Amino acid sequence: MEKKLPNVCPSCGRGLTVRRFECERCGTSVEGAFGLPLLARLSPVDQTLVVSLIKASGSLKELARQYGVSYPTVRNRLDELIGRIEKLESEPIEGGLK
Amino acid sequence: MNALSDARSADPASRVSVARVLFNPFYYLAGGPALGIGLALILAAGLIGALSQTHFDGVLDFHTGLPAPWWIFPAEGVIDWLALILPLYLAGRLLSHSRGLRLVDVLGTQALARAPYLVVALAALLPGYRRTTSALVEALPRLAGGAGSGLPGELTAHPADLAVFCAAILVSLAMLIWMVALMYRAYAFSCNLQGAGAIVSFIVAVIVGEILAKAAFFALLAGVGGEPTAAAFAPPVTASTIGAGASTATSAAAPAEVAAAMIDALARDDAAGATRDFDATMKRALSPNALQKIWQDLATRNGAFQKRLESRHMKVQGFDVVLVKCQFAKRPVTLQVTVSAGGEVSGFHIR
Repeated sequence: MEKKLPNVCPSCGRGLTVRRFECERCGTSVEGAFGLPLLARLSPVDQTLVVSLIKASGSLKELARQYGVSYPTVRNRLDELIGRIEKLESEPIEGGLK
Repeated sequence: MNALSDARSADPASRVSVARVLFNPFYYLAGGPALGIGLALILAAGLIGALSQTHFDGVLDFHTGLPAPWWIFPAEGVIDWLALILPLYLAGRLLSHSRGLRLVDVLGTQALARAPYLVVALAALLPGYRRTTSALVEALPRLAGGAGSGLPGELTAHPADLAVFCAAILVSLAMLIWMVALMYRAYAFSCNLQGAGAIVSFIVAVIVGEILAKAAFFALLAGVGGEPTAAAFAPPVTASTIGAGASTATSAAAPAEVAAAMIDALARDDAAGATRDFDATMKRALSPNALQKIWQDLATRNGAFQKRLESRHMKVQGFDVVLVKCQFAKRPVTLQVTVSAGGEVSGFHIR
């Protein structure tokens, strides 16, 4: 089963930070307060859209064709995504990693 | 399962729904394909409208009852569509924050949004609807002049025809509401607008579009007939214009004399004399021989012409319309003569 990376606190809804990284081979661990990168803070659906757009070479037309929807549908969806990214960019991140 | 199908199944907004197909088909169809389909539907509505003499002479208007050259009807639909595009696109450019706004999406979605008027054109083809419309036109003089006008003022439509007429009107109104909803949705969706700004700008754009459409019709009139009183564009005397006629009914003499002179000339078999007062467009559209043939057909169906009876003159949308009741051997027939401001005959219809 593929585990989804939680990026929002299930209790208060605030963005989560990474406290510890560990090497599975030698057991070395690094602890601190690391903010998630911007793309990882998007919802899984938004992340999939970003990946799809990259795979379609940035062509909204091609993406619309693949999704079976119209061009404005994909463009409006992308406008929403841009708005969410701009909002995330304006929010302070604990750990300082962007 | 690749990333796209993952996204499609994960995003509930991408699932097909009947409500979305009915009220926001642009989710699935926009741009060039919508433009092709929408334009075909506009032309189809116009051509079917030509059969039932249903004019789509405004962004939201439709009127039934006025004969015109066949090409006028689809041309009206195209003008209505284009007249709204300019204000909507400008408003979209002004208000939308989207960087990918495309003119072809506004063109295509607005063309597709006019699809419900195809149903209006079809509804107007129903024989019961057409018979009732004719009966209402017959009743126009009484409605305009009150009781005792002497003209056939009784509404003689069959109850079944009246039921068909009412059903067609209700369906047409439903189609009008649906079309406006689609037009708004097309605008908001293709320009990615929402909220009060979208609604207000849409209303303003419709008003501007209506003005542009009317201006385009008058420009077309000028191109066809040299003046905006061409026969093909004389006002339709229909159920929707009865109110206008009723409120302004008058008994001015000049138009009535022009109409009487024309009918008297026909009665003398002087078709050339009857067409003497025709305006340029009427002269092109209806030669003396063609008018003579119409008059002979009228006499074949109703018996020989005997005399003119009462006449009624009224203003309908700025035109002088004279209804002349004539006695033929078998039955009375009402002839409608439309007279321009210059005293020329710009329309002739048999009621």
